[in-house]
Amino acid sequence: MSVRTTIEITGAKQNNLKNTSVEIPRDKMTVITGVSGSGKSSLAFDVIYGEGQRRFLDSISTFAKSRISQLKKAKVDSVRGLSPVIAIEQKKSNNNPRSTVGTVTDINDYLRLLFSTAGIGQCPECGHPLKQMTAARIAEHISSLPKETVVELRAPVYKIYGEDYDFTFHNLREKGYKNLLVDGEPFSLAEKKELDETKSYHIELVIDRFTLKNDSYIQLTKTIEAAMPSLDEDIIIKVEVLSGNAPSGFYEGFGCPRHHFTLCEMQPFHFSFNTPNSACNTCLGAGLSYVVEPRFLVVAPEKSISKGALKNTVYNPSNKDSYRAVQLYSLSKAYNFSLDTPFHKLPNHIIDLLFYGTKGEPVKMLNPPFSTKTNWITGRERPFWGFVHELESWHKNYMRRTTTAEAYEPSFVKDCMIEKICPECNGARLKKQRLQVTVGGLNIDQLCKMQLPELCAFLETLEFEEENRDVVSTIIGEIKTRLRLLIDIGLYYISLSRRSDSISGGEMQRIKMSTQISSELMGMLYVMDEPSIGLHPRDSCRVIDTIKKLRDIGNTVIVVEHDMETIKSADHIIEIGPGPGIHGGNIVACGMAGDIMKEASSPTGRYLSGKAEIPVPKKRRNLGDLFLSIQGARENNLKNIDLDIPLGVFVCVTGVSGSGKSSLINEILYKQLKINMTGARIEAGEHDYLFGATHLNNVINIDQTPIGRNSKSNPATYIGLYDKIRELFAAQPEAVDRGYRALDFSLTHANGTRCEHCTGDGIIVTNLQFMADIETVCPVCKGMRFSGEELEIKYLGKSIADILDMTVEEALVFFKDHRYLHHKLKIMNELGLGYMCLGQSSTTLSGGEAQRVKLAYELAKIKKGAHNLYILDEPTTGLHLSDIQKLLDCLYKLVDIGHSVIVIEHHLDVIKSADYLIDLGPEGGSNGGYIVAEGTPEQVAKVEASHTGRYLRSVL
Amino acid sequence: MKAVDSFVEKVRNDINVIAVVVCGSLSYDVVWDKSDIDITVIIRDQKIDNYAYCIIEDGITLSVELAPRSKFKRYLESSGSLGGSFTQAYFSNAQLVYTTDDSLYECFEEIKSIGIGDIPLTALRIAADLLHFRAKSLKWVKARKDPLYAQYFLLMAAESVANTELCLQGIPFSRNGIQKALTQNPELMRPFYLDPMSRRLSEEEILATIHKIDDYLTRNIDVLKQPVVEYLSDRDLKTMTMINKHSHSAGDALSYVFDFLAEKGIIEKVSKTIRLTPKSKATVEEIGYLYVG
Repeated sequence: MSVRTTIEITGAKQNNLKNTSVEIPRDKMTVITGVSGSGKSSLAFDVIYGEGQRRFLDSISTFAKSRISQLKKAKVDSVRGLSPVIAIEQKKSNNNPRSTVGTVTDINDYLRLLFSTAGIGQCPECGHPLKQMTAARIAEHISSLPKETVVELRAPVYKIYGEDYDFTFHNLREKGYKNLLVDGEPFSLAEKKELDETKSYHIELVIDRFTLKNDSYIQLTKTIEAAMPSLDEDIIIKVEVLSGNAPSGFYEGFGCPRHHFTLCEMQPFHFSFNTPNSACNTCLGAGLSYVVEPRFLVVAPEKSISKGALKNTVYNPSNKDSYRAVQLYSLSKAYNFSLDTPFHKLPNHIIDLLFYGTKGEPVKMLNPPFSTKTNWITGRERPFWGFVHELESWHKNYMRRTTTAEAYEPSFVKDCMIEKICPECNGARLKKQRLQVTVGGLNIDQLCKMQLPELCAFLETLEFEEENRDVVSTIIGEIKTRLRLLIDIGLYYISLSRRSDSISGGEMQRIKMSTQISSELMGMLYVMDEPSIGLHPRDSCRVIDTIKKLRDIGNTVIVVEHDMETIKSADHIIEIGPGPGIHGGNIVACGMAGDIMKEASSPTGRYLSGKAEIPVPKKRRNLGDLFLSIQGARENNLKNIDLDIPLGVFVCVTGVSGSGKSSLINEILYKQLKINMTGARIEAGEHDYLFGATHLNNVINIDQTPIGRNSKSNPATYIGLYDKIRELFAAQPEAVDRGYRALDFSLTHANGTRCEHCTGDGIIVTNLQFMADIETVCPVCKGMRFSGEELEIKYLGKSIADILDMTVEEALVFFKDHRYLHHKLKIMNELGLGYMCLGQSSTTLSGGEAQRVKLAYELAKIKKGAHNLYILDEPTTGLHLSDIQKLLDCLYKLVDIGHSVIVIEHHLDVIKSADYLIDLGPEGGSNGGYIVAEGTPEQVAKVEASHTGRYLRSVL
Repeated sequence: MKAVDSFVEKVRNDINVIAVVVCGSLSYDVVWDKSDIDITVIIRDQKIDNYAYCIIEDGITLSVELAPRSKFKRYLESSGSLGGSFTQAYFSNAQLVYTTDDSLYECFEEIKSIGIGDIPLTALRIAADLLHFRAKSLKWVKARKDPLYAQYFLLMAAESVANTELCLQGIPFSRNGIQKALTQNPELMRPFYLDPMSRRLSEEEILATIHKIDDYLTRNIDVLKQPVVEYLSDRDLKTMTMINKHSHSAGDALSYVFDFLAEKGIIEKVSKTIRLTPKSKATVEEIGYLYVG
């Protein structure tokens, strides 16, 4: 039997594919390319990946199937030669703040294992190194003492952060511990003794006491084992010999000879911040905790307190008899300020007083003249603790012991809070006892915060004792393999503690690629979506190398890609097209790069051969007088930089991955502008000043997040076309006769004329338990989404359902006489969205498409005279070279009518078209964060140190 | 005791048995041949399926409970935190008849009295019961005009008065609280126990006795208020839900004693707006307390 060497797809009709048949060579790297919307993803993901996945899942038991969502069968006649398939997409991972690079790559699991096997603890008093011992070994060692010796087991007690001693003691008592030693003196929790809160004491807890007998060994072991869980997995115990002195050398190799502490056996979970007993008590392992931000308590600084300057959950002036009314009135009398002064005109010490209280000084409570009855508090003296303190203590109460039945709901308090690095663990996420355990002198958090090459080098230098050398070297070997893969793929600038939600889709994709390679599986089929995205030209070769590595270990790799370098490196290229949407779905060209270049109808071939290109602009716009100036930018790896960003021109921010572009533009510039303009409830990245915000009317970030999650949201509703179309229909004589309003033509309006059987979706989803959900065309409206009577209303011969089915291109012709609609549709078409159906559900749009719809929305509403700043992060995602020209034209248009555009981009064709470049670097991570070059592309190209400059020279 | 001795002889050779503790009336009281004997056997830490057995020894029923050592110690040391609980009373009179572990003697010694720190909390809990019976008695005599039934509630209150009295002296109390208190302070117990037990009280006498309960609590208010003031010392308003959660209790039991302290002007009774379910739109007022100081 011959081995199948190709994947054969016949009769693919998914989405816009036109009964396409194609063969893809196995064990090769194949690139599927084509203009945006031509059907690349439909072929790669819906047909190949979808079918492979569905068939694989088909083979599992019905029981298991009922527990996972099933996949729809792709619209294809047959796919032969499939193997297990894995898609490596660019979807960002979850937003869970606990997810880090270390957890998603599983490297943290190995690090935990390393620490639990080879970690060295330290005496909490003097730092003497402690080797871990199992409970049985500790018990055995104790049992070696002479019989009738009295031994006491103790554990160190740590005061709970931000709480008084009573709170810590209350907790201990609830766990069943009554006897302590405070500074060496017996201290019973059943007796009444006060400790001075301002002092720190050496506190130890008495776990148990034994008089050694012949058969004590087993119970001793059990007691030590039982003590750990009952003490929230404390790993340090103290063994004190009470009767007489311990024999000399008793603590040698067993514990601290001076303080008698011993390290108990450790498990990997002792180093996991997702285990409550190991996580920091304050942030519960998130590394961040909530603090009240005074800024959020003041909603209208221009108003006075009595007219509603404060958030109404803090003080509602309309409630004249409230306790707060009495309190504020009394404060105003005691500290001599007026509740009628606009908040921003109040002196600083009064604002301080309101936020942080009277520092314990009592204030006499007076009944305000405006109150209607006397409050019970009137006449008494009470200190005021300040809004910030009050809210924080409410929040703490809520976190620690209250229920949802409490008056203050967390949302009310949380509204006024922001996340800050946890003050207890300083972002390390673990209890401080865990951080005392080290490998090679460093704790697990310090290792996680290292950049990967540094960590890898550190692990190389470690040496271990004979007894666990074999085990440890296996663990370290595993860690190093994984680290090297990440470094090789260009992620050298990240650290394991980096939060997953802060890394880009492209970076996440590369992490997933590296984990796949480390699995060393062969015979797999990998489907990837634009792996070059987010990569500087300097690094894109690394990804190509990784893909080749995957191929070389015996896998088939299918890549959906626009990047010319990747296309050139492919073993086989398939171009789908020629145009987008209905104009696409056919195989235009197939073969090696040379074959594609020869194909006259292939747009990719034309760019590959250099017959077509994006021209360098003949003239750059001159810089005006207006600038945005950021000073002292220090967020993440930024090195306290000052820079001026010219306004009124097209600015491009460049630099290798991890050089600090997003930190500068998204974290500092965008957020600070938002705060300045709208008082947004966000915190900007670390910097000193931002000047020049007054030159702008608005700042708009056009990102790739979905435009809507509702299945009824679509481009027409987002752009605002649909309102006008509804009005047009409602104005038709027939509709007026029947009394229809514009609202009745809405898909979301329940009492309108949408089809009620499918609630306007046009399809019915049937849940078949362990089989895939089946979507069938709604039998009532036949997929038209509206009820029959509404469809009778026609505009120029088309019903509303016909209009929703039109592509932007078709609608552009259809509405040519309607100025407003024509204007908006024209912009969509210019952005390369001509193939998109007006009624296409937003949930099916790609990130790049969503971004372009947003851009179209912005472009369509621009007015002359306003000065907005548009920020776009990698707008070329998902764009074919022929579409990039369209994008650039639109950006030029924005600039030409007086707006400013800042684009973060790696694509050289966009970079060379900018008026002004800011190149960050020179490298990623700690070696980045400097401004390497600034100026026109020509100026930057001359800078030797700039990686971007070097690549620019080849295109200018 | 013969039955106990022969039981101990049998388990002496079992290395799993660490101690045999005789609890209940045999340890401190007169017993007769119909009494069963409560025994707790402390065993090496291990997981077992059954923790209680009825053993027959020398014709006598032994109710044997097994307790793994670590669990037992934790239970005993924490019992005080709930304030002179039944556990403490139960074991405070216990007799350690056999052990291989000397440290257990200290354990039993420690629980022979209620710690000074635990007294106020224990007293507060008993006072809550006492105030509950007081309220019931007052209702039956005033609103229901039934002095006899009101007298029944006074008798129930007698046990709480006796227990409070013992607790204030640091003595663990159990079912024989009234007898103990009678020997210590018969005059205190007369209106609550001796008089109602010996004759039918008139309405005036009942009201006078209720008044005496108030006097008794007022005399001891410094002890009672201590845990409350400590808990409210952060000057935040605490609702009943929070109070119950903090003190591991439920219902309105503690509200009687908080109300009493509020009447005496030590704390302030206020209310807080809450929603009954997280999705509720309507708000209601929950009772809360505040220490103004």
